[in-house]
Amino acid sequence: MSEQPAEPQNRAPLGALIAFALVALLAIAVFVVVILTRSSTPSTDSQTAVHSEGGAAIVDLAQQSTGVSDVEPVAISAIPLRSTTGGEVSLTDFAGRYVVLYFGYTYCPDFCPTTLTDFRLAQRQLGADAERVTFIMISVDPKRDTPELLQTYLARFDPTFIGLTGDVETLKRVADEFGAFFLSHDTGESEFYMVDHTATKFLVDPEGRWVAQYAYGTPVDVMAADLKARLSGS
Amino acid sequence: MRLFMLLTLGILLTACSPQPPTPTVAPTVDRMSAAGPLTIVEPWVRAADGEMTAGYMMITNSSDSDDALVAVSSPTATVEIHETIVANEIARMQQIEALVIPAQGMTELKPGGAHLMLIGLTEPLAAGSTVEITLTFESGAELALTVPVRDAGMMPTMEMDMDHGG
Repeated sequence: MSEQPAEPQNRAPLGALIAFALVALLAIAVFVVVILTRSSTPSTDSQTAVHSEGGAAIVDLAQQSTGVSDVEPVAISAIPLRSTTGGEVSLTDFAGRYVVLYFGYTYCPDFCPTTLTDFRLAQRQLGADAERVTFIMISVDPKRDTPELLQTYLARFDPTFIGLTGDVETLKRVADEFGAFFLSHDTGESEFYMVDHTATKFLVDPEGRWVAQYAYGTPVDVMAADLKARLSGS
Repeated sequence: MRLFMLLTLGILLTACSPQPPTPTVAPTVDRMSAAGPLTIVEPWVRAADGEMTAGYMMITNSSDSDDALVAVSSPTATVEIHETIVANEIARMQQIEALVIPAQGMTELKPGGAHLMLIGLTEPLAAGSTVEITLTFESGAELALTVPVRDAGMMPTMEMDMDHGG
């Protein structure tokens, strides 16, 4: 029983048009930003080995789009680091287990807790297989990160996570093994300086060889699935 | 015609309003707080034992002009705005002097991206406690929030192909 005159069907309400235009513009803007900022991944299917910036030979380019990259296995050196488990430990001391490690520091308020949360989630997804994987944080900030501080920090995420640190020269040797990088911005003016560091997570196999890495942004379930596959021997 | 406009508006508003998850903290915290065209949604601060931690939230701006978050203060710590930037697999932090909240748009401070950096905590921040944070915007707007402290929780923080500042 409407008293309004009938509207022609092809005259859309102005408000809806504006809303649509805004949404379309926003979608285009987001699309452009994503395209411009995503790092280029090769689209080739070839299996030629290429060298990453760190010198690792990445075996399967097609794998890179998931974030997981196999590398030509490299035996890791026995370099002693101070451990949250007490005393000194080297990455070669974890024979029989997989080790997932990353380089970070406790005064990093966003990236590191985010990474450790992902470690915790991956650990949960592994279920019973979690016993065969050790998650390690190597602190590249020995000035502030004592083993005690590392222990408190990591305990918030999981009591089995291990923290390792050492003097800067030793840390550089370890980082070099993985082609990893860190740079402290400590000028001595403040105790709250930042440290740039490699975001990649590295995988060492039960024979003490670096065999793979997980790029920044690798979804947790992809990392967990990759670990499960390796543990089941496939 | 009018009825159609109202229905469209109603549907849009319903679709746009955030559906808050079941509260897990005391009801005295701010889940959503508004000052004119600016709305803060789901602010939270990460529980921590050390001297630094991060804070996150969504800020929406329903006005026709851009605004920017230019200062943050708290009795608990010095607060700066930072952004995690990962380029060529190297993570670094960059301070942001003014975080733009675009007109008719929103900006999200979230793990792996822009965040508040709380510097110089004098005691551990326990999950379940709160932090008073005041946000100051370029437009002059000021918002005082009671922000809940949470453990990171079990939500995944990274997804491939989402804008993670690479």
